[in-house]
Amino acid sequence: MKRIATDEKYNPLLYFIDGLTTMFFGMLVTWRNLWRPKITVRYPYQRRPVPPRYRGLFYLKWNEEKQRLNCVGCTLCAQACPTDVISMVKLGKGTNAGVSEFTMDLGRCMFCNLCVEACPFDAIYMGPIYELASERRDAALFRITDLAQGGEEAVRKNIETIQRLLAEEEKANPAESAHSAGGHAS
Amino acid sequence: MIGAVAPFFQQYPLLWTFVKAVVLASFTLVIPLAVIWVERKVAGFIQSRLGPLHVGPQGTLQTVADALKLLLKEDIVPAGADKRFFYIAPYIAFISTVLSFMVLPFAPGWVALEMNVAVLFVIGVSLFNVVSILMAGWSSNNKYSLLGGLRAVAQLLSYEIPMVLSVLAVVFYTGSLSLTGIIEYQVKHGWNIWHPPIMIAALIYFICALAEINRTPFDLPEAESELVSGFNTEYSGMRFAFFFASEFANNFFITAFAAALFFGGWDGPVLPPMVWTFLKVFVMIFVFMWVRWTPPRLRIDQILRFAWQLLVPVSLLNLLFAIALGVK
Repeated sequence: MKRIATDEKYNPLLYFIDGLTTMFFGMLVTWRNLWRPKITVRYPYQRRPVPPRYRGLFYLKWNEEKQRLNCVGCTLCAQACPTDVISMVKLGKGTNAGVSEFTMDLGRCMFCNLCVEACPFDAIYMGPIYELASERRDAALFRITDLAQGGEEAVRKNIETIQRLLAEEEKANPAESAHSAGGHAS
Repeated sequence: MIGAVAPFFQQYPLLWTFVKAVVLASFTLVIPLAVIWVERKVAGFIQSRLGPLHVGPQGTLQTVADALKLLLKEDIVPAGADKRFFYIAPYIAFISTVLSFMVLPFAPGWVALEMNVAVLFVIGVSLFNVVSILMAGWSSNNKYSLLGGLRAVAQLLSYEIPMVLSVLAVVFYTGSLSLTGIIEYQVKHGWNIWHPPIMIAALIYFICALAEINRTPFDLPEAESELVSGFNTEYSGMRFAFFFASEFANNFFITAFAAALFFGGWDGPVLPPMVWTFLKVFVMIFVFMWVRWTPPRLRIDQILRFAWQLLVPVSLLNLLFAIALGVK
């Protein structure tokens, strides 16, 4: 049907009939919509599946083979971070180094993924947990026990393993170890 | 139920009047809760949402909670408002709605006041709604409210004419100004809607009813997106609730009036008369809501041109048509 839109040719009756037909098709559209399946997800009761690359709460990867966290405490992630979220305490030196503390203040985090991209050791990742809101500010502070895969148990084992490795290294090559430490200092 | 209680109260006419007034007023306050719930559900479903869900089964108590919230809210009066008119406007709106319900027959015998000029009364009383909207808009001392109020008056007065003319067609056809009389005529002779002149009258009435209760596509007086909800912008708390209740009760009433005029009121097989009245009313309310989510809002000049250039002449011709066919 020809649209009657210009006011010069305005004819109330034709305009009305035109309006009624378009109204009919419009009502048909809304009627179909009425019976379409609803797309609402009733959030607290139902949840949408989290996409595999979702940027949620961070986790420090647990290496089952080496019985330690992958993190060596190199601070590349902390340097990559634009908002200064990450702070850590390094444990030991050299190839067997690790972390004893790893704290993230998610109150400052903007979930930009730069720390994950910066990490050369596959140590830090972003996980699927997204319910991070809290009523207290210090709840945004995530310590190593909250971040490590496997929790407190993993952190304890991680420190044990690293201390054992460092001790073995010391025993095998005490001079070189001391030398390299001195070299670092100078 | 009414049969058991009525004889006791009828010994005391004043008390009986009081009881009926209280029942009607509370009905006018309660029915919007149901209508608003239906509105929100229909709106949700058309938009692929679920609507209210949490308060009560399927969210049925959501509107009750909203009403309670409005009761507890602060009553704010703008500093520059004309206080007297600002205070009474919502009550005039509400009273006009209650008065319309007064002559509405829900089932045989279920009418607060059997009036032989009920149709005239309804038309007269419903115009008070326009007065209240203008009062609210003007006394708020707010440009949006004033614009909303003025638009409402222009629109409601324009659409009142074709509406009354289409109602008159029914009156001439059935030869009665009493709503009970009109329904009883339809019980005997079949529903009015099946007769050609009344069919046209019903269509005109439907369009005018949409305009009268300020619903899309004629919701200019309270256009949220351009007038910040128009005449009731400055109202809050209980006064706003009265406007809101009156609007949705009017929505119920105008469909109940249409059911009485065109669809035989309580007439229908198997089910009790009361159920038929409510069934017809809610089907029509559903259609109103369905229309609400379909077309966009019109401009004020389009609305007025449509009323004066098409609806008034057509309803006048239709009235002649109805008189020619109807008067015995």
